[in-house]
Amino acid sequence: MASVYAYISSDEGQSYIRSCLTRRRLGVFLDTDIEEAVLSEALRFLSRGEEITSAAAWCRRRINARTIDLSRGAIRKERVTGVRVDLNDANEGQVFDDAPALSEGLSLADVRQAVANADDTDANISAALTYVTRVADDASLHTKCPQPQSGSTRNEAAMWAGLWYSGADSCFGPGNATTKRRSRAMERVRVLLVTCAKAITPKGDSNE
Amino acid sequence: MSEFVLHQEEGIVEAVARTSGPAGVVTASLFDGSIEIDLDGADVRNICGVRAYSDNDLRDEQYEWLSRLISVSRRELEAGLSSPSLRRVGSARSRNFSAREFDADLDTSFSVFALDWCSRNPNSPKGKLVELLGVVSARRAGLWTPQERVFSFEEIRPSLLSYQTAGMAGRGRFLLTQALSDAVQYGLLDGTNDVELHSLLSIDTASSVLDSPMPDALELFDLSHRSLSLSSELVSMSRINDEVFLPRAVSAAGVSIWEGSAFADRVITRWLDSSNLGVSITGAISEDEQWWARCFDQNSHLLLGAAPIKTESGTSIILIKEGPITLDIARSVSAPLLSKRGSDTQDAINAGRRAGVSERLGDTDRAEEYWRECATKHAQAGDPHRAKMAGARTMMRQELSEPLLGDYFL
Repeated sequence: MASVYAYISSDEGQSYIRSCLTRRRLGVFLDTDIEEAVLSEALRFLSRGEEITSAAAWCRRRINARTIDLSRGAIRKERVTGVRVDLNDANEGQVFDDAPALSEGLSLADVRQAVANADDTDANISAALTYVTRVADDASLHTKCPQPQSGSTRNEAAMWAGLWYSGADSCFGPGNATTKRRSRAMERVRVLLVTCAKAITPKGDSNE
Repeated sequence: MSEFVLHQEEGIVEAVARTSGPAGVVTASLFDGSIEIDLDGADVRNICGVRAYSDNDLRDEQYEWLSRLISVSRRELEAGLSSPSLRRVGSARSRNFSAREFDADLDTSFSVFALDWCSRNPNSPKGKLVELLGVVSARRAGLWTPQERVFSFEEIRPSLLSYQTAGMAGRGRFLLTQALSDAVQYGLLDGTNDVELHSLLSIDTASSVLDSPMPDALELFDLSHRSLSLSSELVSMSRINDEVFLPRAVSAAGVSIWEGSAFADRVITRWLDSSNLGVSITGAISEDEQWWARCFDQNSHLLLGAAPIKTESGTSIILIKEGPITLDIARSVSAPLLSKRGSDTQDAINAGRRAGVSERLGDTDRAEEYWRECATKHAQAGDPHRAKMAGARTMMRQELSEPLLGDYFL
């Protein structure tokens, strides 16, 4: 990340950003938007374990792409697939046994940062952030937010809230298909949270 | 405005044909992402640029298409792609190119337009239909793409038989039946035994189906919003604001609206209780668009929570503890915060695109209105050059393209 930041801040990087903006006939005042976009993309790229071998080459390509995005009038939607997990062997009671250990010394800000930078769908990121707020901040739920009736863990109930606030309305209501859909959606969010927790847990502290 | 330069850097060969106008560009990745094409956002037959990426092996048909599109030989393209360093291959002056040679045909234009639209509106109920029509146009234009798949009639039926296509003009209806007919002929659309589809394949019989939209089409389109019932106070507050011209943007205690937020002047926020922030957008939001309300820590800009804006009601609820926060509305949860100037630029580009659609459909009054909005936004963003270009569009008549199929129902 340091090398990406160094390139972006360098005269060469700044000059390349300006040349890309000029080539697209966009105002050079948009340079900070490009910097912000490339840096946040680098964070996501590195957080999923990928490597940047040449910061200059990586940045130049991203700067070019992000400039094109700006001239298109919207940020490109590149992440179209979420994490898909086969739930054949899981049931709802087991799903949260390895929920992220928010109380085991991890900084809440670090967890949120990791979730926000995760390479996942908008809906999953939104649900995971709500989950964190519900569990860690003990936020009270809206009266319309559906909750499991009984026999559910606190984490599971928080996951219901995560789904509802993220707009997953189709996960609530009667019927086996709905229950199955909800289970899968919850599992996707759980995988995201566990991945983020693992990514920010200092090596040696892992339970694995 | 017209120029041509072919250059290579970092494994990309880029042919820049024209400067994009005040409506920016529409862009699509073709040939499995190995080639990208930019068209002007308002004058969608004007090619602004073509890029070829060296890390995707180009096939013969791709070279052929590139050569046809930008009149550069395969030998020169290969030399450009294999060169490790920045190298200017040619320019308009040295090659005697003229801008006229870089016009896309209507099928190429609509293919790019449709792919761009689908990537910008990934959750739209009309997405499948637009995608199919885009693929048909790609086939007509001779564009090879390996992602082609067979669509079922059931997939596109709800959007095809919606209220939008019922009101479609005669020319649009003609284009639609032709495209569906070609889709069947190319083997892209399955359902030839369906009586409805059969009727849709001929302009003489299509009206019988299109003029009787599915009774439940509206419900189908609103399926994702059906179970949401927000605080009636919040919804009524937004309506009151529309009617009596109160200040449009209202912020709850401790909540500030980010300067580059979309709808920054139309956002109303209110704490429903100590942990629920209600967000409401006054005025209409297109049902095709997906917007997210995002809360950031006011000091660190750390993302604390996000929730989708329901297009039906323009409202959203975010679970977040009361405190000093910054609210932003964006198309994606993970999109970086835009500056005010960046946001104004995007608004200007979108207004320019809408102006282009209105121009092609012959609705000059609406086109002028959008061009004025485009000019104002560019000026606010500090881009007087584009503001001037947009302003000039309201005064002079351009040589306009025929409407694209999507102009009639998107």
